[in-house]
Amino acid sequence: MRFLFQKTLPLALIALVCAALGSCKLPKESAKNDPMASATALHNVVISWTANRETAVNTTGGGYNVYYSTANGFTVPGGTAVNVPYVSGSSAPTSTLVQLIPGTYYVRVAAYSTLNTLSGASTQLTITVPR
Amino acid sequence: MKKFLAVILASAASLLFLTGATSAQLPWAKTRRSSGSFREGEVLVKPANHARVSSISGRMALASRHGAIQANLLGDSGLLRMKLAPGQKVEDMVARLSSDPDVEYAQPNFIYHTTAVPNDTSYGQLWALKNTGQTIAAAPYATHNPGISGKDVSAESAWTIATDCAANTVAVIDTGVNYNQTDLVANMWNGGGAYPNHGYDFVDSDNDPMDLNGHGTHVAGTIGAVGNNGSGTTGVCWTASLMAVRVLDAAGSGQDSDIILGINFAVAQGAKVINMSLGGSTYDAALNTAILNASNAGVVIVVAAGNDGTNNDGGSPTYPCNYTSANLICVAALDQSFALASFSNYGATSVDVGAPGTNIKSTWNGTQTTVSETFGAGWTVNGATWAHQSLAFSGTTYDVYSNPAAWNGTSTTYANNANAQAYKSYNLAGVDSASLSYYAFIDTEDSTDFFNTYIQSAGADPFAGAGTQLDQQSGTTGGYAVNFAYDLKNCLTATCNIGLQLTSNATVVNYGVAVLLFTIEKTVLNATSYNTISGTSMATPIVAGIAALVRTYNPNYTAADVVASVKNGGVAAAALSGKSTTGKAANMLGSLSYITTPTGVTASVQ
Repeated sequence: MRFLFQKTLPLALIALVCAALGSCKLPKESAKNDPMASATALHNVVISWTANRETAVNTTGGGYNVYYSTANGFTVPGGTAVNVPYVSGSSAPTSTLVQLIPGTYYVRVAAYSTLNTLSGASTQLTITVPR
Repeated sequence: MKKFLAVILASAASLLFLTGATSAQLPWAKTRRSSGSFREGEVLVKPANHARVSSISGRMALASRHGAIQANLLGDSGLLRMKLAPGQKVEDMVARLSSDPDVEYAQPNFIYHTTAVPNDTSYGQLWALKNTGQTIAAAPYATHNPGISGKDVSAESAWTIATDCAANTVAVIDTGVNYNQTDLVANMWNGGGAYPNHGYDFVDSDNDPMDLNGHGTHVAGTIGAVGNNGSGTTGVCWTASLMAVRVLDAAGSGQDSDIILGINFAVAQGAKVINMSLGGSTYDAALNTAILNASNAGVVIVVAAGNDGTNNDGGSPTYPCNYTSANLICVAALDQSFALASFSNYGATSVDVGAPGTNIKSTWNGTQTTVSETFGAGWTVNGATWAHQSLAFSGTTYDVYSNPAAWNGTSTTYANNANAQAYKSYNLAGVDSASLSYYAFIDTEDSTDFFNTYIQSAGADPFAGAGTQLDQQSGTTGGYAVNFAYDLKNCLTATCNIGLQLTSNATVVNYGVAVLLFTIEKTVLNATSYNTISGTSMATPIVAGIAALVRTYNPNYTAADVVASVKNGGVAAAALSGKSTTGKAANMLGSLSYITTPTGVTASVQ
């Protein structure tokens, strides 16, 4: 129904709404300049770590979990988990891309294998994603 | 007299017990696989062949939609391992997932108890590897025999992951190794043309490190007696590369200078793990440096805590245990119930882990016979002041040979200007090695009055000029009976005379000398002997074996990684709490499955 309504909305009505609001910009442009909108814009963040030397981490069934949270001192497993499994080659990946809205995040990395559900978690890294 | 008992008990525990072992015949050889239990809080999910769950993010979304607190993709198997929130039941989640159209199937994460059981005929006696609550035969350590089933190093489950250590040579710095022992010969280090006998002998400065004591052969077998070969025992490693470095003589004694040469040799020849089941109470800066150099060269050094039953951190340190090189691991001994063995030293900052060290059966260098002297007959006495007494110490009577004849350690004294000699002939022909051991209370005027031990191999008076002095002592043993041991390699004849002598000057007389527990051990080498003995010396090679196994399974591991896996991969043992740096018993499975904590986390915002 909504789609149908938009499709059939008369141009005159749009003009009327624009007049009432006192401005009329395309939504895309308004997001660029609206401070409220930029606070929710996603930024690419690459998280990297030193490769573990366990054979089982660097073979099928092994890999890493990257955890992030806005809570300082969060424990692992906890927060948001991003799985970075071994895929192929001599070692599991040692970086991953996450998309985050502006703010302060705390990041910890742990490794796993078919022999061990989870290693201890790395020390906490603090990252700030600016607006 | 009370002090005497304490020393005898502690020292007796440190002796190698030479009782012959009979092995139970266990004619089974199989690999058992069973299932039935599953891991609580985990479910394995196979996503359906839909586009929306074909990507990693799609699969992670599937897991989070069902409330998983964590999910791992199991490599390219396509399986998703979901960790459930607390309180969620595996059965309920399997049912719920199975009705999701995005899921092809879901199942509990079954635990497969795969075990690798070697077919070595004496395997059933090796409680350290598999403790079934079995009673160990010919056991020198009576406490907790049998012990508690399951108190072991989890060898069978570890062996499903790895049994091979050959890529990481383990140097056994000890009394040598009987490299002809049938259970060791295939696992000896290949020293090439320069070292055809698999190592080096720093006692005699030649390339034949044959073990003339038995201790080193026992240690080597615990690390790497050939496993699953249908005979004898198995080591922690089924296949191995064992380097024989002889620094201790037939009596088990050696000089720091030889030990240092042995360490340097092992490092230079590429050993990745060094086992030193030896110790002393004297700090030696040069030995410390040699260990530090080995550590810095990436070698893991595993050493014994000591057999005095004392606290290494309490003012009586044991070296090398108390040295602090980064890659040094010091090992205490646990019994069959994982209690601390009564003889084992401990130390909250010096000792790292515990490992099985009582009633350990392993390879031996040959057949031993012990001659126990009772001082009743056969002694030729010049000066007429050495005499036999039967003296009771805390209820036990010992045959004692003393000077003065009426020695009591508290009032009777020897004579001024004495030269009291006594000797006896022993038949040491036809043996490969022999050693003399005795305990002695000594109290003489320091540096002027002496207690001497002599040998003469041709049956002559050892004090008449043709004898060889083995030792000279002066001063006091502080009211304690102290153990002395000598290699009789220069007296392997049918007429080996062993002599004791007390000499004094014209001033000051003290309480003199009392000798007891005077024994001669004779060894005939063979390739088929085993022995069941106790000591922190026996616990140490279990850990050295684990270090070699972990390092071979993880070829990229550094020495520090190996040390971390040994220390952190252990299992908490109450007996070691507050008595070691980790409070843990070494564990093969725990160390193999250990994962070091990731480091070096960085982020870049784009």
